[in-house]
Amino acid sequence: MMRLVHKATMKNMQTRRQFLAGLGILFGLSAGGWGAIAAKRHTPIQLRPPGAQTENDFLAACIRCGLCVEACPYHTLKLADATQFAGIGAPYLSAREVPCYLCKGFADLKCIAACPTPALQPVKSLREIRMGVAVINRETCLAWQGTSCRACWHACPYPNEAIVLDELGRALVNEQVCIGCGLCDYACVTEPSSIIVTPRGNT
Amino acid sequence: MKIAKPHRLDKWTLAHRASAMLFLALLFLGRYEWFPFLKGSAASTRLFNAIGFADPLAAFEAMLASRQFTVALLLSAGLLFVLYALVGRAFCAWICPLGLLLELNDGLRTRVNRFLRRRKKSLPDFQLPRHTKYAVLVVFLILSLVVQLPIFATVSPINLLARSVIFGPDAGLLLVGAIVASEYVSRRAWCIALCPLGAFYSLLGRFAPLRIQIDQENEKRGKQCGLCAYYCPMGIAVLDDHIKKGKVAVNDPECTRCGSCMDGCPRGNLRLGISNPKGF
Repeated sequence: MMRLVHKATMKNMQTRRQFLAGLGILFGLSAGGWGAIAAKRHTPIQLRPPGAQTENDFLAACIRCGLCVEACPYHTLKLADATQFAGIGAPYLSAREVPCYLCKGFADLKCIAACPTPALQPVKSLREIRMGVAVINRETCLAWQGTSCRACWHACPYPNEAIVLDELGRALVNEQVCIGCGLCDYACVTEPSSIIVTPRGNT
Repeated sequence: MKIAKPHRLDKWTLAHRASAMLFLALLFLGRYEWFPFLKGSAASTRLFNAIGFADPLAAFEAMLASRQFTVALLLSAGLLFVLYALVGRAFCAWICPLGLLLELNDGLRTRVNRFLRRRKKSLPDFQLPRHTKYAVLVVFLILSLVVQLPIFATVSPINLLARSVIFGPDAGLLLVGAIVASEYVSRRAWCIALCPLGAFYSLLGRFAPLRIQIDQENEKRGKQCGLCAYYCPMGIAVLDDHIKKGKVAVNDPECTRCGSCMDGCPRGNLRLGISNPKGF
């Protein structure tokens, strides 16, 4: 009899445990769902590789494999860590550290060629790339403060088109042409940089 | 008949561990430009910079999330889709870096348990229902569609571990650590009950022809000692279907084809072979 009672309680405990485990997992999954939604809302917008779709479409299509990072000949691209929330494992670049050299010396853009998904779309010409737009901080820019400097203009792949100099030798960005490669940001002599590429994000 | 002594480590166990290690080593070397053999991580790889493979689950999630697909993506995911439809959950034992880590960790767990047993204690083993992983898979797929993010591809501990090895450690290793720690409360809980990728491959390999075959004649003369089930890391009752329904192969879709049962069988009655689809 004792043994039977013992067995019955054991079974009861097991079903209760299973029920609790089920509840726990359900709770975990719903928390995960909320987490995913919240993460998406708080994901900082980054400079994405050339050919990337708009931020939301890019994050939806990228499977976080890192093939583009391995393909990048200038080691520009990096994989995002856990601080990037919804962007975990997706590629990004910080132009001030290493800008996008647009695969200078190579026939095609290596990251786009390596991407197995539609996250990075092929471009017909480099001018089609829309990673971001360079914005000049006129408070710190040497040229705008009266000193002679045109480091950004020299670095720009489209000088006199994307970055033009006015009659006083001050740099101006043409948003229609700027592709957002970040070469100007990398070249800027002030610290912190006076020309920063802002990602185009979802626009 | 000669009865071999069962070993803890035998050729199949060594072979699948070596295979998983080799895969991870190749991926690690893939980060260097001079090594074109295998690039990428667990989500997608590229052989000789020509043939692309994409994890079918990650690709499916990305298609659900982005509502777009390309022929190249379908092809590279399709290659693995067909492969796993033929070999079932073999990925889990032969390639998965997390599977390798958890298997090695399970060896450590056994040692800890052996140490505790001398003190009349043991580690808890709180078993989760093994079908939980299918629910996890469905929830992740729905979330991918709704939130428009390939959720499992983003937070997959398998890929977090692979990426940490290839591209340098990442905070995602905390999740891997949590899973390793959970094994000390619930043995092999991740692979058996929780992994949605395992669930996906189980479904995919439901009719896989490559299975563990049971030698009918020898087995009838045996004692049905159950060592195969004892050694099975997935906790499959290896001989059950055979004893109750007279099946000639292990039909459980959870089988990872790791070969531990073949190593454990003292009579060598199990072998890996192609099943006739009529026999399922």
